[in-house]
Amino acid sequence: MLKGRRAGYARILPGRVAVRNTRPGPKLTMNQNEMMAERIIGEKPLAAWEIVSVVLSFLITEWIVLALGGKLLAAIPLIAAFGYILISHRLRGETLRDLGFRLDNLAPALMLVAIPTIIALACFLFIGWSAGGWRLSLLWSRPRYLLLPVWALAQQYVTQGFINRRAQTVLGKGWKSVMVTAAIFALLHMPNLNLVWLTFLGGIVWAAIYQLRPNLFAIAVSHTITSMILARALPNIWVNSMRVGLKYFL
Amino acid sequence: MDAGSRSKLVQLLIAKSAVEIVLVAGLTVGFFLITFPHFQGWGEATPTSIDGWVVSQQHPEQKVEVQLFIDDRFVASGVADQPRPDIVRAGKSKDEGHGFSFEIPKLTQGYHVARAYAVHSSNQDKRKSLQLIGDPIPFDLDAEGKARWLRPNTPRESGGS
Repeated sequence: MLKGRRAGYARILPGRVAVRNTRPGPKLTMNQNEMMAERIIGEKPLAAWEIVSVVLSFLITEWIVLALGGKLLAAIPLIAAFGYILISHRLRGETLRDLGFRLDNLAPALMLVAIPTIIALACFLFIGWSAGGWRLSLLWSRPRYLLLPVWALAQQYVTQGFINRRAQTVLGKGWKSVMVTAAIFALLHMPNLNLVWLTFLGGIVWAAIYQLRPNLFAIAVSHTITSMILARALPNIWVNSMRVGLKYFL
Repeated sequence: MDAGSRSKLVQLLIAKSAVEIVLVAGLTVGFFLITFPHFQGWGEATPTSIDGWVVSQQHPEQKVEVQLFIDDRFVASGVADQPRPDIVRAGKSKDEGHGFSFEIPKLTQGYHVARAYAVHSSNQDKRKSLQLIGDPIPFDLDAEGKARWLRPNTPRESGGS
């Protein structure tokens, strides 16, 4: 190991490498890993990798762990995914407000989300009534529906607060990142094909609104109401109890 | 975002992937071992029945449930608990009660294939798997309804059914 200083170079510390510093000023030292990261991966590829990794965690949970290992083991990829998401927010300096946990734009976001939500509800109710699939009375007999707002907020936090934001890093704000976010949201509802195309449409609306007015509460309200009515207005055979992943077949 | 933070995220992504690979690999191997334990056994056709034996390698004392299919159609189900002293002599099992015998039902004259399967339950009986015992058992049925086992490499005398 070299000791002392040489003109134009930073002091070499254990585990560090010297970086040429031709101008006077603060000494530059970079960890080897940092240099590798600088050289190998840029901001966009990293954001794309983050999206793929988190989506894979949820697919592994839905398709493998829940089907083969049960709910307890399913916690492992979920904790890994949520843990990663939280650390990613922290290292990127994203605040709760940035993510959409805020009230200042709640009213305008609700206004934006209200019209498509009402249209979707009207469609579901009409189609369900025509097909004779209404089971709306069950809405009040299932205590688990009380957890639906939390579940919807969690889904929208991942979809919009993480995937949509990273998609914007890769593709910029606009229709490309909106479509990617919606496609991923739909993919996570495979192989329930009716849910896949409905979530794709819903995903486009919610991702677009999030880019205009980033408010997760407003989107979660829309998600909660549409899911509840979808599950109870349409015939169960169409939505197969909203099952996704390998459980769809079980 | 600075290079240090990016480097940390890369390391985290790699670590997360490693954890998930280990989890999926462990689950896959575990699922395979639990769902498809190894069964040792054999089946043959006698003039009036399909006979054989089966021993679970995981639980040798367990009497295995067997299902018989002929020409890919379910025929009968039973437990392999009949005495087969030959398997003890051959060192395949410590007790002889692992044999099964199913009477051949009325079938058309000619060529048929029987398959005996060991039934295994797992996940608190929610999941059942069938594993072929030995090899498929081809046989010819004559006009009197007597079967003749066509061992491998035995030429068939009559046409297919």
